Amino acid sequence: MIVVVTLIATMIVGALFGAIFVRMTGHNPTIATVILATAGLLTANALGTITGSEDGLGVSAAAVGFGALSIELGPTTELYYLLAIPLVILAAIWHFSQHRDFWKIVRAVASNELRAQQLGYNVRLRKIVIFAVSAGIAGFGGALYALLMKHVSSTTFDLGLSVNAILYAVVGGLGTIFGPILGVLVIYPLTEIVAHYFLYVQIVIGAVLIFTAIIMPKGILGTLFRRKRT
Amino acid sequence: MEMTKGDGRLAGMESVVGILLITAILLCPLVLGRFWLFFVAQMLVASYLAISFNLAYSYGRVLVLPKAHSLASVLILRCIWLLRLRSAWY
Repeated sequence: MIVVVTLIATMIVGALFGAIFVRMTGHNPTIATVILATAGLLTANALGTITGSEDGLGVSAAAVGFGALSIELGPTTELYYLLAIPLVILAAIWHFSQHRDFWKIVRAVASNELRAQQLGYNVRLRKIVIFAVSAGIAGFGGALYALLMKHVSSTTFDLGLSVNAILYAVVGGLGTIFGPILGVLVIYPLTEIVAHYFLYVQIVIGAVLIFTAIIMPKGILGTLFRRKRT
Repeated sequence: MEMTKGDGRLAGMESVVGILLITAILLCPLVLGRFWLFFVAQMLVASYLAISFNLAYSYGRVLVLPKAHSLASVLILRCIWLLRLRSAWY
C-alpha cells in the first residue's frame, strides 16, 4: 500500500512542479530541477528528526498489500517480482499505447511544440501529464528501493545517482521503450566491475557518456536499428 | 505522424529486444542465487529512474533529475512512519 501511496503522492507533487516548469523556456527548467533537487537534499539534511538526515531511516516490511491481496516478502524473490512485474507492465503499456491518439499527440508536442499548439492541442497540459507520470515512476522506484535496501538516507540521492540515470537512458537509447532498461543492463554491471579495480569510477562514467554522445547519440537501440534502416 | 513500413519494422525489432529483456528479467530468480538476484533487483530500481528520465526528456522535453522524485518518496515514507501507521500501511 505504501508503494501505491508514494506513487500517487509523487505524481501529485510532480504535477504541481510540472505546472511551474512547463512555463519556463530554454534551459531554465533544467536549472530549476537541479536547484529543486539540491534544495530538497539540503532540506532533508536539515530536517534530521524527520528524514534521519545522513544517518537515514530503517525501512522494513514483512508483507505488502492489504488483507487477502497482501504478499509475504521473502528474502529476495518476492521483492524481486514486486520490482519486475510492474516494470514489465509499464513497458507493455508503453509499447501497446504507441498507436493511441494521446501518445501520437504527445510525440507531436515533443517534436514541435509550436506546431502542436497551432493545431489546437493543449501543449502545457500534456507536458504536465508526462511530467507527473515521470515523477510517479521515479517515486515508485524510490519506494521499492527503500523496501529493497531496508535503509535509506539523504546521501543516497546525491548527484551521482541522477547522472547515472541519465547515462542509462542515453546509452540505451532516448525515446525508446526498452532502451533505458538495456542501458542499465550494460552500464550498471560495468560500473561495478570498474569500481572494483579503479577508485575514480565517475571518470569512466563521464568518458562513456562523452563516447556515447559522439559515436552513437541515439543510444544502442537507436543506433542499431536506425542504421539498418538507412 | 503517420508510420511508414520502415518504422513498423523498427518497432518490430525493438519489440523482439524488449521481449528478450522481459523474459530474461522474469526468469532471473530461477537461475540466479540470492546475491545476484539482489544485484539485478538494484538494476531494476535503476531502470525505473532511467525510464522516468527518458519519459520526461524525450516526451516532455524537460531534463529533470529523477532523484527529486525519489527523495519525495522517502519523505513520504518517513511521515507515515512518524504517524505510526507503518504496520497498517505496508
